[in-house]
Amino acid sequence: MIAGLARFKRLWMLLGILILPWAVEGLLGRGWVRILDFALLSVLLAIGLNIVVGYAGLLDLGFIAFFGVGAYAYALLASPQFGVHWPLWAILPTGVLVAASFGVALGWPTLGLRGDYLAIVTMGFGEIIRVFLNNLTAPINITNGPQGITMIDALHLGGWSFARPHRVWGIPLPALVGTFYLFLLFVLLALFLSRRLEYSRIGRAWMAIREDEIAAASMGLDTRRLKLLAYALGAAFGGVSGGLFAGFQGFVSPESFTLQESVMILCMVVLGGMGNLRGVVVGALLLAFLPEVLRPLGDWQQHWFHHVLIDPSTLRLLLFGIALVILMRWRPEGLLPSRARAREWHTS
Amino acid sequence: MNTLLEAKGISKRFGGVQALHDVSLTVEPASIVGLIGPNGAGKTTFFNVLTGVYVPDAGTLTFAGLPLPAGQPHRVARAGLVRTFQNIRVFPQMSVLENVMVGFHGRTHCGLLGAWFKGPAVRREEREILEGAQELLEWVGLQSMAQRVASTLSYGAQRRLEIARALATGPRLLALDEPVAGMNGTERGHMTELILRIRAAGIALLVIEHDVRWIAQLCERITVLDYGQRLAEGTPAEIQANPRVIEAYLGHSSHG
Ligand SMILES: Nc1ncnc2c1ncn2[C@@H]1O[C@H](COP(=O)(O)OP(=O)(O)OP(=O)(O)O)[C@@H](O)[C@H]1O
Ligand SMILES: [Mg+2]
Repeated sequence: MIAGLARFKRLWMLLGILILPWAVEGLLGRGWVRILDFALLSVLLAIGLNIVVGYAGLLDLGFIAFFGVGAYAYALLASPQFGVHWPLWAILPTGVLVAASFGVALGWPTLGLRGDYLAIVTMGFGEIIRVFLNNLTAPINITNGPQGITMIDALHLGGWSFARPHRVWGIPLPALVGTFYLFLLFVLLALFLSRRLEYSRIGRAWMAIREDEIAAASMGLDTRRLKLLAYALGAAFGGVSGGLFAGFQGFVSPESFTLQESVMILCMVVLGGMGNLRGVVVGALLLAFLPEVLRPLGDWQQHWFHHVLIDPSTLRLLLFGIALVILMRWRPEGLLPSRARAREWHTS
Repeated sequence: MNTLLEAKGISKRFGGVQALHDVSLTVEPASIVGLIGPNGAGKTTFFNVLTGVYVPDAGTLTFAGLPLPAGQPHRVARAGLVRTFQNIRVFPQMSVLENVMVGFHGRTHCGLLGAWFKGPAVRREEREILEGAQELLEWVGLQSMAQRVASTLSYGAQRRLEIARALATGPRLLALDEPVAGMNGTERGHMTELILRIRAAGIALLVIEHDVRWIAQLCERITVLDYGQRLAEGTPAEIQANPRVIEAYLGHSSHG
């Protein structure tokens, strides 16, 4: 009976999510559906970072690099840059492999590091990737430097392009809504895979490493391998998100992959509740939307004070920062913490 | 029977401190060996070298006829040599049950794809881990606390949890670093009983302890360390009668 109700609840939730883009389009306008689509990519990124930070306890401040690697993999394999135009189903697995390899390559030198040292080194790696993207223009022009790569093929599966509106059973399906469903599929898959891992032998091992690495190794856990696995998987999720981002936006440039973005993803994970998938999703959505909600600050000032007192983008960052501080003061363990995390904050 | 553990000429230096100098020690299968010595004698350092936490400067370690991999704790554990820690190291925020389940890691196989597809073999393995962990908790008397968070257990219970977790790895030699430190008489009695049961199950034990009387009634053989060197080795009776041991060891602890 209870199980039946719970199943219904899930069904209702799924239905609600399926209707969401239509409701958003109707109530708020098309621009917000676009924001919603980008928000789903953030969720995907946060799910990836959660494996590294939330499960294995490895503080990674350069995570956006894998997003960048995935994005450039897509951009180079489906644009006039090299005149290659691979289909999506071939690009994404390639992007996953490339991103995962980067995850291992960047994780390898950090295996002996922990805490703040690890954060600094990963931050450095993140910057290195960005600098490379900026400068890989000679002797062969690979990344096209700061201009980035444009005219990237739109996301498409066979003859179905996600950049064009369609008609399904006579119902018009706007391009942005179709894209929402595509991204949603990836998010659901990522959630499923991540959850399965959390409650497996590997998930337990990651948590043991997070709690006490020496004790974990002394119980027979190959901590180096397990940590590399976490890096590779997290990077793979980030790579998928990056690939979808490139195809969706149609252009990529290094400035999308700055330290600030890494910090933002980390905030999503920490604020939502490290280690708990539901929290991570909520955190990612919240932080993806908050800056957008604050966007019309200039108009509000105009309306109330009849002229703009503070530069809207500065004020936006300021309010965003204040909101973060309040949230973390109020719930240091995150909005929806994992069991372990909640205990840490309330037993001591 | 072949010797289970043979440590020969182990030395380890930390900067100016010669923590271990030419220490040798053997453990026979299913026997209990005591390792005693005053504070700072190098007992814990010896455990750390043994279990791969530190690499020795000199010396050889042979376990069940094979060399122990130096500096690789997880391979030492998988070879069948596991330890507990003087300053208890359970996984504090995991449940008691999960702590023990982690111990089964080296003996089980479920990988990435297994976790994702969760086929019948993986389900069976997961069930076996769960049942095995519950059985071990029963064995050490913690079954009623399976769902508690490890850090909320009493000191003595955490020590037993560490032992259950170590047993989950399927060891042939269990190394205990001061298992009864800070315990009262009754708790010591329980620990003695548990150690004897472990030995009866065919597992050898190497036990560090300060209390000579407690260790003497437990062990077949005792090794005494002092200032990183082996001072004496013998049966409990020999050790207790050894004037050098009485002088060095008891001399230290009386004003320590
Ligand atoms: N990682 C380390 N770095 C530097 N010195 C160390 C280290 N570990 C141990 N030592 C030193 O080595 C010596 C032996 O220490 P150890 O912990 O092995 O002694 P112990 O016999 O276990 O003592 P206790 O009975 O107090 O536990 C001490 O002088 C200690 O300060
Ligand atoms: Mg010690």
